[in-house]
Amino acid sequence: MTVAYPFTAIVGQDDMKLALSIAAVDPSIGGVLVFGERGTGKSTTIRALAQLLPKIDAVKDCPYNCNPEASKQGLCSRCQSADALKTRKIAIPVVDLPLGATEDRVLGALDIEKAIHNGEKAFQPGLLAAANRGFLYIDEVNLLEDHIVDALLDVAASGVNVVEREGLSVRHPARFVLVGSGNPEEGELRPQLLDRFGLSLDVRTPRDIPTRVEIIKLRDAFDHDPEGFSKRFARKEGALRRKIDAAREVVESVDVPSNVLEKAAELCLQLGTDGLRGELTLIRSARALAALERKDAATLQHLKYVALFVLRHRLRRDPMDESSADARVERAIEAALA
Amino acid sequence: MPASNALSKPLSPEAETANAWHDAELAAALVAILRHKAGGIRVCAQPGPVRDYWLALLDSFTEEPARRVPSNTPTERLLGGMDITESMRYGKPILAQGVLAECHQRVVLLSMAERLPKEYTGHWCAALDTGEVHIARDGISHTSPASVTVIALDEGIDEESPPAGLIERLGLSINLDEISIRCVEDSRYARSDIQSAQSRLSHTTVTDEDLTRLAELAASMGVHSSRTLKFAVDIAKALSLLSGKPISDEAVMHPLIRLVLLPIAQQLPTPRTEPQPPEQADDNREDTDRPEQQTQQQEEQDHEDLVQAAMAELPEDLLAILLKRAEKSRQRQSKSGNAGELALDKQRGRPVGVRRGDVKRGHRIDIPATLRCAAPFQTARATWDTSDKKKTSLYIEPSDIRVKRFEQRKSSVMIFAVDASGSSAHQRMSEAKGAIELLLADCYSHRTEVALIAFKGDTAEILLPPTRSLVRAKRTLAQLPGGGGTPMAAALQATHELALSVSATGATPSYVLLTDGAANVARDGRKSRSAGTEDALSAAKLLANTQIKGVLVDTAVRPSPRARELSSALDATYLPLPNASAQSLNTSIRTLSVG
Repeated sequence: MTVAYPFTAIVGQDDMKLALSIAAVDPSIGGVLVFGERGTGKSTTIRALAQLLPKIDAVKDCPYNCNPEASKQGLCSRCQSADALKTRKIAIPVVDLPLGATEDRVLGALDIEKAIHNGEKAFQPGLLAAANRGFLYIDEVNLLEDHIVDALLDVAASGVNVVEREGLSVRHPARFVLVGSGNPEEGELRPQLLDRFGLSLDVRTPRDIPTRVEIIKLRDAFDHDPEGFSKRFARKEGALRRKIDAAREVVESVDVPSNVLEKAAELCLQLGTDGLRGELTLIRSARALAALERKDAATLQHLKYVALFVLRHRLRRDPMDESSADARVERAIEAALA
Repeated sequence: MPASNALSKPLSPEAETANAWHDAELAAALVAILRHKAGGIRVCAQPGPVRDYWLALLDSFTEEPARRVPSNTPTERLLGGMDITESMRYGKPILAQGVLAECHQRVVLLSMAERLPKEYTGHWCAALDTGEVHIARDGISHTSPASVTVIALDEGIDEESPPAGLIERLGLSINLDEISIRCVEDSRYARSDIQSAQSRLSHTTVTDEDLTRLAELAASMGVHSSRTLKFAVDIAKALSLLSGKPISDEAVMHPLIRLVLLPIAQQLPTPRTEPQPPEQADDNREDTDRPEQQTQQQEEQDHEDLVQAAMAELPEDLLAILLKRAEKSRQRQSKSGNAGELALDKQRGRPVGVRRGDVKRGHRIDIPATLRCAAPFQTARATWDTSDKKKTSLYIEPSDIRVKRFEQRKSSVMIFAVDASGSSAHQRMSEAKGAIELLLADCYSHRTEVALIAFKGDTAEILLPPTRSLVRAKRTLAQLPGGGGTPMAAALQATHELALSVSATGATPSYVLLTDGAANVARDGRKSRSAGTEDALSAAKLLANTQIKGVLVDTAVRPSPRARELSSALDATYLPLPNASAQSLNTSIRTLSVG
């Protein structure tokens, strides 16, 4: 396995880094979509996230990383029937869903080897199983084949993967944070899939020369000596990891005062976003941001900061209105939070 | 461009192409030195002796000859998948390495890169980005190293170009078409030069000034990708090693501009660029700090030199041509991609699962699914197998066979032909645009592709080839100017031709013609109302013969008899743009054509 570029060594792209941290603090926010032109460091940043994530408790030898603390319904069938669950620490999984993946590997399928040799009907868990309680990363998400998207949508909505094929009938928990990246010029994203992402960003290459020079300098140093370079950033990485870990601990107890709730509702109403998902994500993101900043309560500032990420892909509009979506959200923010 | 001194020392054509060959040779050496650090190279050339010679030269620089991979190599071969015979023998999924993994640390010749289908482009890009292939197919998950160097052989003429995502990941670019075979000389570099540069590469560092210089240069040419800048830095290092000159020397900078930046430049370098601090800042500095101001001036001077160098590399008109080409390639990328996608659809469609089937009927067997079907019965069948020689380790019955099912995607393309003539522009242009926008939204929900033709003056022009990017469609439409005559015949002909090329790719075309029907320019460009109408009607009959469904939207203030006449010649549905909302128009068109 090659050494990944350290997250904290990424120059600029603060919005992207913040959005990913927020999603790591509260997985229920529903993931991050990063759209942008080529060569902006989209995939580098997302891949770097894996090294930053804190460890979690999981049931030992459970292919679905079941949470020993979860209620019965939240466990896979094997963990449900087990008497005592042994625990172990695992790194929060970040699973890559590569282009060209087939359904049997994404959803899981009959284990051919066991079936042939032992005549045993065993389920071979797929990528969604491995991604349970972690992140599922899809690079070039807009190029993903339709039938894989369909399968994903269903699981992402329910948090349960149900496999009914080849005489198997398996259901297992599959709650994951969907992270996607892509270049909008290469294809549009299905609106249903777009809706699954909690936060969405539009990234650009920094245009000022010193920043660009800094990017290249660091990248050059990394290519020259990946291990040594990563060591240089180990302390910074550790600090951020602890920050995210601490925020995960407290996020549930961060208070969201009523004025923030009201403003969130007002914003959504004004922009005419569909359903409650936008409002909920708005509140959760503001809360996660407050937790990251070690605050006891979310403020209007927090709300204002996350509003654009949360709302920009949720406007009901004709789909060509891409350019003005940001402007509309910004206007609404100004109006509601001025 | 006032700063251009491009033509100050004109070269003879022979000398020009000799230079071009030197560049090509240099590029080959750079690819051999840098390998995947430069991503690869785009070689624009028709097949011929010069290209062959260049490829042989490249091979002579590397330990192993390049491996040729056709651009239509499908996903399962690129990434790898289940090895059928081995899997059958051992009764478990066994991985067959794909082409990308097989080419780890090798040079790959991607032939006919301009035909690389969109759905395979992602695999190439992922391998170039990560140096690995990550597969999750046929019951196998695996990561193999795959750091490849891609030589994209681009034989595209005019309209064709490799996918933009691929081009972005190749650091170098050359064009061999202009080079005469007489200029091809023996190599100036030996294998040992390459190896020595390679070994010293990791010890070469770049100063901050050089980095800044490179970043400014790239920015001045509209190259903003960090990836390209990183390529430029590594290529500059290699150039400096080859030439024995520092990076700031023109022996490094000039080839760098020619081979890396100019081919992807989005704009002309301007002699003075934005990053320079404004005058005011200079004044302040003057008061306080003289030496610094001098370095500032020196830097400015350096910058000017660089820009001069960039400008001098090619004569002015060539730059213009180049920029136009770049513009074209941006427009074209989606088109070529789509063409590939559709052609593939025709061949086999998108996989939509498996079903029971038999081998004889030319279906493609889905091996993993078949094995899964056969698997539960293996123990039982083994005990039933009474024959003495139990040769098979696997019992597969005909009923186990599963075949892949493909669905021919019913891709459709809606061609909008918009009358942008003076008469229309005066009347209902904005309403027409509004109606089209609503229709575009409708196309979006049906995942229909759209194309845009505008006609005015004496020509009809395809403003937008079939695309799914509605943002682009909308932008193009918004920028559509109005004015001039109504070349109806030309418009119908353009629609006809585009519709035919759409059906040639396997998609179903339909069209929406927005006009007031007042044809007044004949096919030959003559301004005549009668000839214009006559030509329009005959073109309309030709189009009607193709049975392609269409709608004519009358944009005149009052429904005009001429538009109605035209629509009956077209055998198209006639819809006067109602005084009511564009929304109701949308509804009527939807029911008539899309649904």
